Amino acid sequence: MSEFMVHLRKDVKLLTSDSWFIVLLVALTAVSFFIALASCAAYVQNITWGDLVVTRASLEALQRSALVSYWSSIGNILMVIFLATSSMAMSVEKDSGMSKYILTQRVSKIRFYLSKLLLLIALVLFGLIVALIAYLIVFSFMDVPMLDLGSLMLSMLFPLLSMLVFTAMGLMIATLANKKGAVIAIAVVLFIALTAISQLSINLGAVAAMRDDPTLTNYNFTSGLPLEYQLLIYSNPVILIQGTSYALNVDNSYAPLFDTGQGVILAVLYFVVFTALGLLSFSRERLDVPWSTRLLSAVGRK
Amino acid sequence: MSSTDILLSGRNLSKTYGNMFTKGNIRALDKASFEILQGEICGLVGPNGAGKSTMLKLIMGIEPKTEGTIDMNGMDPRKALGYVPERPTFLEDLSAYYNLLYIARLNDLPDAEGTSRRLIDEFGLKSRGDDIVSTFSKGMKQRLAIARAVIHEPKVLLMDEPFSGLDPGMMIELRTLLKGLKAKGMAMLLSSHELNEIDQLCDSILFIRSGQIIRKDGRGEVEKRHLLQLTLATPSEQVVAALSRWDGGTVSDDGLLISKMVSKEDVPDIVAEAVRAGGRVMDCHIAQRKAEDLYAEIYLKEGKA
Repeated sequence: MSEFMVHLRKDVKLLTSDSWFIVLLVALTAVSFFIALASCAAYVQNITWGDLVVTRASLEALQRSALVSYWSSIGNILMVIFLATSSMAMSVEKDSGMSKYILTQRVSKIRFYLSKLLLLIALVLFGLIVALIAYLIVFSFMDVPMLDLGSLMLSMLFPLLSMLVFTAMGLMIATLANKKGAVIAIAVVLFIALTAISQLSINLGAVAAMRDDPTLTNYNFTSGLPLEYQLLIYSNPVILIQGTSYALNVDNSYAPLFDTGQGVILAVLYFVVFTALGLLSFSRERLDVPWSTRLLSAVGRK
Repeated sequence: MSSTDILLSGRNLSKTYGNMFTKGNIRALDKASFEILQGEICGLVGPNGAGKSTMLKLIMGIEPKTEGTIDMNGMDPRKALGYVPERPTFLEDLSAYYNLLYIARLNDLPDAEGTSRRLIDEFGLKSRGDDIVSTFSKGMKQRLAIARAVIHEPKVLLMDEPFSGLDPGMMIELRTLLKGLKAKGMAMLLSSHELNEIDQLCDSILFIRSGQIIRKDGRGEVEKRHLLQLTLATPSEQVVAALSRWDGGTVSDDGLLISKMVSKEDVPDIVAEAVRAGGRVMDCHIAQRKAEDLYAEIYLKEGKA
C-alpha cells in the first residue's frame, strides 16, 4: 500500500470515529434545506407579485435569481463550515504530539499533508451534493419547469471553487497552531476580515475609478480600477462567491469583476498558493515550539 | 572496541534554543559525545533540565541540532532507531491494533497485519487490542508505545523516562520486557530518574549535567568496579598505608571502615595485605557501586543537583 493511501485510510478512520462528523453532516443537511426553503419562498413571492406576466422565460429568469441567492447564502455558510473543519483537520494529531511522532517514521510531509487535503476535497464535494439535493427536492415540490442541467452545474461551479479555496486556506491555518481553539479563532477572524475587506475594497475601488474617470459608472468601473484596488480586490478569495451571478448572467448592481474563465483561473491560483503556503508551514512541523510561541519570544513577550 | 561494535555515536552534539532575534537563549546541550555499542543498554542520568530529553530528540531528528554529528554506522536513522517519548501519544480514538498497523504500514512491513497482531500478544495487550487507546492505563500505553517503537525491528531503541509514573509491578514488567528485547540483540539508550531500574538494566550509565556529558560509568564485565569495605577491629595507620597502592578510596572518621573501588580480582590481595600490615579484619564486604552512590557523588556532594 502506498504511503499516501496509508495516510488517507488513517484520516478516513479518524474522521468517521469523530462524533463531530455526524453533527457536521446533520447540520449541513439541515442548513441546506432551510436555505432552500427560504430561497423557494422568495421565488414564490416573486412569481406571484403584482401584475407580473408569467412566462417560461420569466420563470427561468426568476429561478436563476433564486439559484444565485441560494448558492450565495449556502455558499457563504459552507465556506465558513469548511474553513473551520479544515483548520481543525490536524488538531487531533498536532495537539497530542502524534504528528511529530509520525514524522519520525519514514514518511513524506507532502503526502501526509495532501492526504488530508484530498479527504477534505471529498467532503466539499459531498457537502455540495447535499446542498444541490436539498435545492432540487424543495423546488421539485413547486411543480415548475427546472433549469437545464447545464445551468445547474454552472451555478455550482463557483461555490465549489470557493469552498475548495477556503478548505486549502483552512488546512494552511491548521499548520499554524496546535490547539483547536486557536486555529478556529484564526479561521473565524480571518473569514470575517476577508469578507469585510472584500466589499469595502470593491466599493472604494468603484469610487476611485469613477473619480478618476467621470464617464465610468457602477456597470463598467472595472476597466478603470486603480492598480492598488485591483490588488486588494483580486487578492481576496471572498470575491469568488460572486462568480455564480456572473456565470448565470443575473443582473446585479455592480460590473462583473471577472468572467467565468478568469474566475476559474483565479480560484486555481488561490488554491495552489494556499496549498503551497500550508506545505511550507508544515515543513517546519518538527520544531518543538509552535510558531505562535516563537513569535511571542521574538517580540520579547515570553 | 572496533568500529563495527559501535551502533550509534554522537560527537560534540550541541543544541541552543533561540536565535539572534530572541532573548534568553538556552544552551540545552553542550558538546555532548557518546557511543552506544551493539547489545548495550546505556542509561542516561541527570537532574531535571540537564539535557536528557534534548539529546534523545536530537538523535531522533525531532529537534534540529545546532552543532555536532550523529553517526549510525551508515544505517538509515529512521530504520535503525526506535523511539519512545516521555509522554507517548497515540491516535487516541482508534484501537491499539490500528495504531500499530498504521506505523507498520508506514514502515512498509511485508505482513503489517500479522506483525501488529503478534506484537499486541507479545506485549500483553491481547485482550485489549481492539479497544480504543483512550481507555488504556498508563502502563498499557507504555507497553503499546514500546511495541510501536520496535515494530520495525530497530537496532537502537531510545526511551525517554520509560518508568515515569509506573507502579512497581509495571516497572518489573517493563524491565522484563526490555531485557527480552536486549536478548534479541537490541541496544538501548534510556533516560530515567529510577536509579534502581538503571542499576538492574543498564550495562553503562552516562551522567549529564547542564547539557554536558560529565562521566560514563561502564558496567561491562571488563570494566566492572566493586566497592570493597573492610571493617577493622582497631584503627591502623599501617593498614591504610599498605592499602594506599590501590588508588582512591576513603577511610571513615573513626578509622575502622576502609572503602576502596577495586576489581573483583584484587579483593584477595587487598585483604591479605591488610592482614600482613597488622590489621585485624572483622568484616569484608563487596558491593557493586550503585547508580545512586554515583549520582550522590556527582550531583549532590558538589551541591549542584
